[in-house]
Amino acid sequence: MNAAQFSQIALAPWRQRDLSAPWGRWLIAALLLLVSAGCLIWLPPEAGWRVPIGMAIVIVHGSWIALAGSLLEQNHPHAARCVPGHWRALRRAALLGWALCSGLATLLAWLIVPGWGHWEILLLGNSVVVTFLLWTSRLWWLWLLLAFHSPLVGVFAGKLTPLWSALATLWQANTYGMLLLALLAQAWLVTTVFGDGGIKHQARYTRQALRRNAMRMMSEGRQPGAAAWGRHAERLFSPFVAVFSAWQRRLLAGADNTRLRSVMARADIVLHGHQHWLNQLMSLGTVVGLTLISFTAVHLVYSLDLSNVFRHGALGMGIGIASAGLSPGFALPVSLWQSRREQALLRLLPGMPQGATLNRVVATRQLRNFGVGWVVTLLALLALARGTDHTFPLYLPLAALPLAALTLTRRPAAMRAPTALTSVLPLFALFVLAGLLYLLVSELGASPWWVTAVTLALAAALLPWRLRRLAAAPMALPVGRLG
Amino acid sequence: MTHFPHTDKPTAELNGISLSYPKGAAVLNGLDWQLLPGQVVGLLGRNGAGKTTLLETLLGLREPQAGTVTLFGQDALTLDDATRARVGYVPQQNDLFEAFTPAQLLAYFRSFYPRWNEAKVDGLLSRWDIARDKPIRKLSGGQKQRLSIIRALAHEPDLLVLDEPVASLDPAGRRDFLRELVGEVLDRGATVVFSTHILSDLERVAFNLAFLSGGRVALQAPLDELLEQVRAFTGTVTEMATLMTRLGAQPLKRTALEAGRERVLARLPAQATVPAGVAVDRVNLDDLFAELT
Amino acid sequence: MDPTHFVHINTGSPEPIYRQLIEQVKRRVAAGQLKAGDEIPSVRELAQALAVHPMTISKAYSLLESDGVLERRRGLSMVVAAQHQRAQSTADRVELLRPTLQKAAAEARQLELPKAQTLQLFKTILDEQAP
Repeated sequence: MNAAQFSQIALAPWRQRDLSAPWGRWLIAALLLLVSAGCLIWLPPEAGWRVPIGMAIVIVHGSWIALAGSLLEQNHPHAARCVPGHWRALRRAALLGWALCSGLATLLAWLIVPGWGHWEILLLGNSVVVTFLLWTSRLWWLWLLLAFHSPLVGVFAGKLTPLWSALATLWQANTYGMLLLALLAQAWLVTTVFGDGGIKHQARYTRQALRRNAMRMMSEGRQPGAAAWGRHAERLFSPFVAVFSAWQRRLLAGADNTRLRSVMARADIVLHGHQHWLNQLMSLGTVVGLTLISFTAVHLVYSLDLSNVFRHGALGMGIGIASAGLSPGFALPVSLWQSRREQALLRLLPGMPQGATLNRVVATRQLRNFGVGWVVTLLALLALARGTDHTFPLYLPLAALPLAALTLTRRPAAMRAPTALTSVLPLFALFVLAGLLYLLVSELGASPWWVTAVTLALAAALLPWRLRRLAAAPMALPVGRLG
Repeated sequence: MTHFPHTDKPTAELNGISLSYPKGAAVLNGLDWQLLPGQVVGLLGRNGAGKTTLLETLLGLREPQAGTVTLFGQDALTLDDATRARVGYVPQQNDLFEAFTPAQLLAYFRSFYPRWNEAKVDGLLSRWDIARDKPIRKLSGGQKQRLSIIRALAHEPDLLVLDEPVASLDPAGRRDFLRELVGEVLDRGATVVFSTHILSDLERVAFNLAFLSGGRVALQAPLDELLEQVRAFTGTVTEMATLMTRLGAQPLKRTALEAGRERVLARLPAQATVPAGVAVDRVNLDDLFAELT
Repeated sequence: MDPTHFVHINTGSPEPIYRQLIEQVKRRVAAGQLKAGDEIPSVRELAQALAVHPMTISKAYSLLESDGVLERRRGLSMVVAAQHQRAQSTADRVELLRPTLQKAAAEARQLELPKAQTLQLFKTILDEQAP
């Protein structure tokens, strides 16, 4: 395998980056530089240069994850079977990449660790990490294994501890021999991750392609349905589909084309699709239910003092509740993009509103759905805030109001294709604004009531102006035709 | 019995339509078009010529920058309920409504339309062997396209607009679909506009053809007349000029050949006879497509 | 009479479909395959069977009626006209060859061929094909 072939294979993830959305990459790069500069300036010298090197190690491992994913994507069964030398080239590239990443990470880690010794254990650790990361691209459940490793180790302690001590003694006895053995074993693992084009490989690749597609859709802000994740996910989510179908049947049975509410309720099923309020409610309800169950289970098994948990974890929980409650509302405009081709057919249905009425109705329905989520989130956060003195989460619903007045009243006809950044932007803006308001109150000493009043006034002023502007805009559906 | 569509108020009328995409290229350029009741018009044009855009503009799904579109006498952008109930549209993409099952999709659309021929829907679903309770994303391409056609025919529209409705169907399926169209025309005198690249289908079922070229409808005429009256002449430029004036022919397309010779596609008046010694060929629909679009 | 096999349509030819219909019906009547009083498929049946625009069929039928090949009966389907009791005489049948011969004559004129040689070629071909 020559340099040209290797560079083609290894540079593929970089060449295939999304050129239309470079902002994310620029942002991350800028943040990293800022943090490194900050560490060098403000931290004491021993720690100062260690943090950037630590970040470099993370970057090396992160790039390896990207490269590993790309290599597995290039490992298409047809190419493995029919393109001469392709499979072999992929294996060699993976081996080379593994060696480079492990070596580089070991070198960086050796620089960090005080004492300038024990490079063998660092090499072992880093190479294991690199091999593990490669294999997680193929077997996603390895992450679950990692997450649950402590309970599992506890359960299998009986068999694992003697094995562990045996390995430790062997290591002490013959370090270099064991290291060589471990590296050879890992090299073998690295080469076997690629399939050779057989039946199992084809089935595996189709499943992976499905998942990759679903993740790509999510990064563009579109919500994939349960079926996009594969057969098992489809079966898992079939009760939700059944509930949604039942709701649809009920709407159709009570259909009345003279009442705008009935028409728009039916149109909503198609317009918002997977982001329909019923689907959002069901997914949120499932998450809440699972959380409650796990809390109860932990409480019963370990008899934790829950009030303690709430007091210390209130900030994180508050942020989580706010995100879960407010982001579905912000995701509604993007979901309109997904159904734009169906909207052509909807426009031709008798009973559907047109012109300014349509603009108004689409916007008010989105605002109403957002409003319901907002009220529930606010109540949950107020309940949470009763026992703690973390007030930051309360600023999130407050900041959400003017933002909702802005983002939910944009002109749908001029919408552009959503990218990863535009779908994340509302939430990002939400946290930034809430953070600013919080700083105003906590650092600059402004009165919280005054801040609240100003924000509410701002939202109340924005909303009618935006709605008037929307009424004069071109017809809302099909979205994006003028963008 | 009338042989030709009675010329009442036009079903659809486009006047001076100009439309360009936001990124600049002009797709439709001062386009005029008229559809009379009961006509079956085949819309022919190259890939990218703007057929889909034209059909969308016809239905009011796109706003032109200039010009007016009227459907059944109303502005296409704000059609009232009664008019919308008379229009059926089969768009080019047939993978719409993927989360629904055929039964759900048809029930959904049925709830909007005042008139719905359930018997025809059931008949077509069984004849075309479409599983009623399988999600649409699991159907094959041909079945999705057939379902799209059923959905458009079910409410018995007076205007059917079809954008490449048979691209995914096998020849038997296409023949079946054409029979359904013929039935629509026979039963209700529906006006049909359809764009397709499969010329043999057009020859059977389309009585009129419209050629889209350069952002305008370059020619609209009955197919029979075109086949009988259009000829391809080859000769020097001067010979052609004199021939055209002598025959009173209307040149449609000139193609320059080498050495001052040219090939002219011209439409002869009804009773013209071509003199001896002239290099003339008859044309078929393939030739018309190649030259006029 | 099975409407699907009544006539055969050739798409992609320079001859319009209605003309193909007319020629085929005339040929079958001349050869005696369709006799006087034979019912022919209605416009609706034929249009649906062949997936052809009904106006095309009706145009062909009208022209056949004005040529005297078919006749219309009130309330019933069209039939082959009464005067075609038996196969047409030779003189009438030869007339049917006129369009094809006109095309051949036009081509001969284009190629600027002398009359004698053209007729000689035609005689040779007929002799070749004679049983």
